[in-house]
Amino acid sequence: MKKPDRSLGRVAAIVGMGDAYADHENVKDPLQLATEATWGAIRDAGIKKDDIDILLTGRAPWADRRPQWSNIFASHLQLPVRMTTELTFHGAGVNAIIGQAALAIAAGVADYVLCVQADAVQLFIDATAVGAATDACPQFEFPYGPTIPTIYAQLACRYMHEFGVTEEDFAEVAVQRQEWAVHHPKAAKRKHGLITVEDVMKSPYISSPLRRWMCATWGPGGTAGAFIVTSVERAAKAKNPIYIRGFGTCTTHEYLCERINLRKSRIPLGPLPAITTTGAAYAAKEAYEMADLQPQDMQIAALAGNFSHTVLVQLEDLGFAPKGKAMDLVRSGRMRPGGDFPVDTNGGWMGFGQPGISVAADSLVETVRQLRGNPLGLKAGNNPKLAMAYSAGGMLACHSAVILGTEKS
Amino acid sequence: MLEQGEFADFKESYPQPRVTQDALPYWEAVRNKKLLFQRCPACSGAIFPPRSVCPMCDAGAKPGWEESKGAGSIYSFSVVHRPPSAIWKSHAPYTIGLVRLDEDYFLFAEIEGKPEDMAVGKRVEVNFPDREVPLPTFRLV
Repeated sequence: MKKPDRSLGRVAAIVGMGDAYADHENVKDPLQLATEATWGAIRDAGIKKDDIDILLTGRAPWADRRPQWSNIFASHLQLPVRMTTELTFHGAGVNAIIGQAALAIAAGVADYVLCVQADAVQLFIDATAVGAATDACPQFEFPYGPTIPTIYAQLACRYMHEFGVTEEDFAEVAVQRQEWAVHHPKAAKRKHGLITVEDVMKSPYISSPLRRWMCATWGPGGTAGAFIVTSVERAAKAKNPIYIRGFGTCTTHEYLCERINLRKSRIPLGPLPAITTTGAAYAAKEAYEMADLQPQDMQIAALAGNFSHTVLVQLEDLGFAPKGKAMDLVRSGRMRPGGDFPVDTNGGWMGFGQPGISVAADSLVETVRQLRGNPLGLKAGNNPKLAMAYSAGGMLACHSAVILGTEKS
Repeated sequence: MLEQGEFADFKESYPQPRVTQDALPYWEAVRNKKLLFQRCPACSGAIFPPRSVCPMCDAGAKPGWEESKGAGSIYSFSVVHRPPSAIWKSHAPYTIGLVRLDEDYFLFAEIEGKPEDMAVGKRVEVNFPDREVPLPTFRLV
């Protein structure tokens, strides 16, 4: 596969960031959330609305599933632009639009690109009906009555089987996510306070081996994140630019029944058939190569761990631990508050929760905030300058990794 | 039938498979309690889910249908304790797993048996229980 030009890691920066939040006491729909975040990003960037040339979003919010949502939003802003489009790449698309914005800057077709995503599942739709109905294969999976956790649990089962990991290990992952979440004012699980391995092991099975505390929850009610991307030259005049140092993406399938039957892949997934290595490894490798950096150069990371075991698999695929050994990194304590490699500092998808597709924007918001030193929750103790922001979507299907830094390469 | 991206009210009845044209012979066979899969005439690879051209080699060959012996082993499994909707509640807990058939392809399906008896590697055989929606399941041998 053609390797991306490494110079792409030196062309663009985020110069404006805005975020917005909603809950049952303060209801906002995706248009309102996206509007609030966008105006926050515009003001933060010190530009005018009409400076925006291209508007990018991930796929339409669950809470407002109108087709052409990105165009609906541009219209809502009365913002004629060169192009709007949605990266329909599951949750990875929300992360991948940052790289696509950098490409537009590199190609010279835009001075400013707005990347924005909002959602508010809990406030507007029946969350229990979301998910398996669209993410399970409607022909060969959904008729058997799986939930999303059931599909992900197939990986959990294999991960335990192949690497000797236990449910207690999964519990420890949940405990550490909660250690960050309790400090974040918007985190869905903040209200539960700190938990122990015993608490997790006492929580009921959702779909074995996954217990309730090993799963992400819905909520907060709604969120949005907006990012203004421009050239590094323009960013030099910005007050707090965050440089896009590298990005990489890939997708390997849509449904799990397709993935397990995949027997060869030019994207390296280890010996096939198997599911314990994901396309995250390739997406991250591309990002590291573009940035000319190594996994150990990352000082902070935001994962897309919707379950305990996906946290572990992602830590491995992103290069932070050898395959099957992520629990060693978890047990080292390096990723906990006070550690030298803070990970999922907003509580991650498990602790912060999933307001919908915007969860991937929340991870980017958290990463930018930590790099700028102004998080809403607990500040990373190591003054991070380089970050990995990763997102995933679908049933282990789509992957996007972005490396952000406070300095140009 | 569910259209993609649509939230049908599946609480009223068990969901019907959204049958593709490629898979019509598969579902016709299921009604006759037979399990079919495809094989590529060029690379001999077992193909699932069904398609009109082999995706595993560059021959561009049209796959042929074969009957599976329906025997395999549990590759992975999960016991569903919190089902997706009301209609599944009386059925829970039930086990859903990936089964590796002896012809070397995988099915995602229900595995009948006691949850405590499930284990990776255990042998299973196909079953066609009489249900509202005909589906192949597996049961522990």
